[in-house]
Amino acid sequence: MTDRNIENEVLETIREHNIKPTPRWEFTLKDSAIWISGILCILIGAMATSVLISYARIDDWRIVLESARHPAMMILKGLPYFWILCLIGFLGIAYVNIRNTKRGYILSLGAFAAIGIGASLILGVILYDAGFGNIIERAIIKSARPPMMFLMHPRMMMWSDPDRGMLAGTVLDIRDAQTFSLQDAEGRMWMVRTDQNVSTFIKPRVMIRSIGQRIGESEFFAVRISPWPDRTPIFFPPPR
Amino acid sequence: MIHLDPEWLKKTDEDLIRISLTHRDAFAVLVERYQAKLKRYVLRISDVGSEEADDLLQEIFIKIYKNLNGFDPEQKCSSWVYRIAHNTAVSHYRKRNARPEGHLETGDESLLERLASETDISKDVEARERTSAVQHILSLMDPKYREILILKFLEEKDYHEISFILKKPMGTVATLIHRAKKQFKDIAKSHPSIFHTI
Repeated sequence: MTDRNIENEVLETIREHNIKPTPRWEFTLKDSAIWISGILCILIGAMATSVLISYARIDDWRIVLESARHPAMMILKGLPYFWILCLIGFLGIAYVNIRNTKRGYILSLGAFAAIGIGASLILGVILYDAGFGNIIERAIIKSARPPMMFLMHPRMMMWSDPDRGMLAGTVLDIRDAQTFSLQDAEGRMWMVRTDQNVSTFIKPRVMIRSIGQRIGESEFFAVRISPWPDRTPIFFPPPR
Repeated sequence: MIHLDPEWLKKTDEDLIRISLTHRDAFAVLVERYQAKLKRYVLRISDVGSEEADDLLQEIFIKIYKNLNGFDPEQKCSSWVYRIAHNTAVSHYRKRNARPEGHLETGDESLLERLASETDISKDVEARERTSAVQHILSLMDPKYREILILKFLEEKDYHEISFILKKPMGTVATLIHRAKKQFKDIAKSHPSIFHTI
């Protein structure tokens, strides 16, 4: 048993320093803020998931595997690392936040990962179906500049490698049946030649992706041309 | 001067928390109920002496007072109080960069016996040596394993309470107890001199 009178000491300290209990609303606010930020993180994770789903659904990978000179390298270049890290990062922040709520500590990391990834996947599918993955892609291309654009839109980076036979951009005008000019993601102008009759399927202000070979400083010979997969076919990259 | 209402002495801990929000002196009853238990706990898990433990106890009760509105009535008051005590003690020895070895008190013998039998060292050791051997082994253990054995066997907390105090899922608590017992046995095996120097 202690010789000190702890009760008296504690009450005396409380009186002397006018210590008061923290108001209840502060605890409620803190708990709510943590839950809201946890849910926001899961929503951002869901947005990242919708972008990942749009990456998985488009046929870039098939075209690259069939026609590119260095398919494995191109695919590695085009993988959405940023969005995968985004998903993992925000789920991680959500986990830390939710663990600090009143009851959140009962969730193990495994249980949270399952719930978090499950929720992100379900919400991600809903957002993707609503066109969100596409909206984010277009927003990045419209507002971001390389290298930031390439970080967040690795598909664009993959298709912006004319030295390795990959070129994408917006068609500016059709010169003749087998020649057109194009502006790429970095704002450079290209004269694209091909042995196909492009006038039947290419129009100005349309984005395309092509596989071929660089034949000059600003010239490219395309052996395969495909439209850029997008719900809205007309798109302009940001000018230099 | 503390003005105590005799009615307060009959109230449950949870009621006292509520009353303390409007009658500060009622908090003294809660302090009186928990000070001995918490001082023993603080001594068990940290490296402080008795005087320093009293200072730490003051700090703990001030924190409890400040957090009265944060008490969740669906939890047991003792678990909540222990959680604050645990966090304060751990924070204290981390600030000092110390490796806490803990002190066990006389009166802990029956509880130490329980720990000894759970970890199977009893069959090789005389009864009177067991208590000291257990104390010595505990002092050599990793703090995170020592504290969980202390909560389970010396503070006699159940898994649910330990989960709340340490803010860990129940599955993690079970794993930690299992690993703690293993480390306890491993230390006992690798330090046979413990049983002969007592």
